[in-house]
Amino acid sequence: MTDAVIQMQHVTRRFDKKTVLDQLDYTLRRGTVTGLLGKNGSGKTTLLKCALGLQTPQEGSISVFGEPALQLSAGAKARLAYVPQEVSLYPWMKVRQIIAYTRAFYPRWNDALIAKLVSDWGLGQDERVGTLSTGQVQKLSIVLALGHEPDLLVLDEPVASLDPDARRKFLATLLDVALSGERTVLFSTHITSDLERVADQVAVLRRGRIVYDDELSLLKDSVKRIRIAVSGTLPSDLESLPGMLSCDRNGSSAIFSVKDFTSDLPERLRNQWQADVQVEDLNLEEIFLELHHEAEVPDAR
Amino acid sequence: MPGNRYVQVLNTYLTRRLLMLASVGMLAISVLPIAVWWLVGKAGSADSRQSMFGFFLAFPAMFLGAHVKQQLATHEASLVPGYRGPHLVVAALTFLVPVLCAFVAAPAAGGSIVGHASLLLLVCLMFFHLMAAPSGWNGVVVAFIYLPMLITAFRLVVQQVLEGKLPGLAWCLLSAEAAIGVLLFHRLANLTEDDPSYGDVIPMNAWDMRAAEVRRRNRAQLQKSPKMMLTLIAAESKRLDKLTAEPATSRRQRVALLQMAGDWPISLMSVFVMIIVMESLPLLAPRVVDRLNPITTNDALAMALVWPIMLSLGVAWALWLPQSQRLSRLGYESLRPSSRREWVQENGLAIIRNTLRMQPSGWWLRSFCCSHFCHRSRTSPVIVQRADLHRRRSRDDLRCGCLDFIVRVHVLEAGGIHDGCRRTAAGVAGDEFLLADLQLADSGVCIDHGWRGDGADMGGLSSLVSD
Repeated sequence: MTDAVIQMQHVTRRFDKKTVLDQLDYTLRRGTVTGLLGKNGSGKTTLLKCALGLQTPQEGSISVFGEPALQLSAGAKARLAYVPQEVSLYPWMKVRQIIAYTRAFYPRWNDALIAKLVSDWGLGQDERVGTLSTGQVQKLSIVLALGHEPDLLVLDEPVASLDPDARRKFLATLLDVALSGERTVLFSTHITSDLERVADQVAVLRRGRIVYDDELSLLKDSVKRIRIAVSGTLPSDLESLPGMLSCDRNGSSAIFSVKDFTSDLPERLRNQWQADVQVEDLNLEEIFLELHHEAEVPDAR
Repeated sequence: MPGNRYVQVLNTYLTRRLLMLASVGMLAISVLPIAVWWLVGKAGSADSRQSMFGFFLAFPAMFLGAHVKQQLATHEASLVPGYRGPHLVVAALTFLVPVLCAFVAAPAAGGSIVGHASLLLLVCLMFFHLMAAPSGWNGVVVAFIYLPMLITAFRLVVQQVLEGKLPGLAWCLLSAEAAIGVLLFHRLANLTEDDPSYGDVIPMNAWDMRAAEVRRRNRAQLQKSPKMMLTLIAAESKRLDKLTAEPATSRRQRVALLQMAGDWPISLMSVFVMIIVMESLPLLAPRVVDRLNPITTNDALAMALVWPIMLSLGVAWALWLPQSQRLSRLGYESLRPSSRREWVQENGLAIIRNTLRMQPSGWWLRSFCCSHFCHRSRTSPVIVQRADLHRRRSRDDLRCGCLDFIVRVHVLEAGGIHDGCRRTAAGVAGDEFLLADLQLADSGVCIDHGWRGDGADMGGLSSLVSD
């Protein structure tokens, strides 16, 4: 059995003349909780929709559970769930009615889990969906997505409309889901602190391609900020260092960030330029900014 | 049963209580007249047959179309196992309602079940299509709805289909409806976000509007630049640049800006031109068909009355549209640095100035329509609504050997149309000839409807009516 839950190969998706996904390759591995990071308009939603066959790419192939994404079987559909960024549920239905309606389509349904989540998240069974707040509708859609205990859970900015309490509860639930069995979660978010809390994998989308896809800890290990100070003038070829993301010169000192950091890099810099070198760790938000700083200055390397 | 997906899908209809009540009410209104005609003993009359076609059935069909589109233009349709089938089957089963109506209404109205079913289904399918698969062809569909109302020939065809005199056409209609229905449902069954009409979900109430807004945003990136809209707003866009080149310090400048408020800065004149174009279609259609089927006096009188009202509604819509688009923004717009009094006055002035811009041309158009159709009502040939004979004639006496005859109707002078028919309908030379459908009745001959016919055959009816 293959380890890939979602496999995207050379996927290109254009809207009119704008290319959003450009020959994108991506593999979502079984049993991972992956956070998809990218700037606004970078194509996160498009990637998720293409991955599930909701939109058709102009080029490339996509498979989910080994089946073509555009022709998923009922069996494959029963194993996945998707919560879109903006939820559209039947506004005239009551919460219990929409739960019953959704339940009817799935062969497996965890009533106890749903009852617990509805209770924990303060959703009234007899409230009409149309009268719920945006955050409550978001909660309800997450509840509905978890009812059939999907093997693959895809969420597009799931916590954007939630208050801090609901966010924590949601993240705890997400962890429970991920830890119970071989479940796979892929979610996009802007809130990097949430991602750090639950994700074990990070995929960074930039310019229509996945520029980083690995373990979160490896990302943190590979992107570092370096402070360098020399007695004379800084070498002119400082910016040509491999993996340079950004560089801020200030007289005889400079602060720069690099990806592909290796433990021997500081020692090499000390020897090469007789410099005082200090290495700083970055949090995920800073890494995100550095990675996208590189995108804004394409010739930085 | 609660776990049955078909029951749950049906529940999505039943839980929309207001719309269900409205639909049932409309259905009752469309069937009730049949019962009334039956009770008063005129069940077989043309009036009773046509009473089903007051387009009351259109509302439930529109509701159904919007509802099904709402259900299928979602990610669930692609990702939830076995989702589309039950939704489409339940929607298709609701089309049995007009068929059932035909079975009830046709015998009561003395008509054909097939004829009634074909036309009831046609109306329902058209309005379902309008909501479920909106496209640029909607204008054509709407124009098609106008035709039986405005053009005698179409009314006559409708009447004959209902009476069962055109069974071939009725079966052709049923076949075409079945084919269109299959194509439409096939399209809905394969609806994805890649379909340009995916986000065109027409809201039926305030809650739907919120859901529709979500869908619109979800598929916004799929929309291509609306070139026609960009062309329409080009002039106003330049005017906006000019107005905003310097701060709007005077009331006059602020009012000018408020006049352009709306989701799209479309000039009122552009909107007005669009209305004229849209409304000219049914205005011009009868003139085109006029060569085959003259606009009759009664039609012209109806248009003289209806058309100015339609134009008034169009103008009112054009004035209301920008204001309705602003409703959700009025709250924070009122926080702009001006007093409440100034804010109300400036908005009021903007509305008044827009109204003044629109009304002169609106009144001119209304006057034109009114005078045009009043003139036509005096000069158009007449459909004889009723021509009673003073003595009974046997069918053989009518010489043509069937119930359809050529009647020649003189172009009447203004006023006294029905009296005029009875007195002058025959034996007067004229340019127009109408083929009338005659029904033998105890009291004489009733001429219900007519169309242009061949003058060579008119002798029979001339002598008939002159008698």
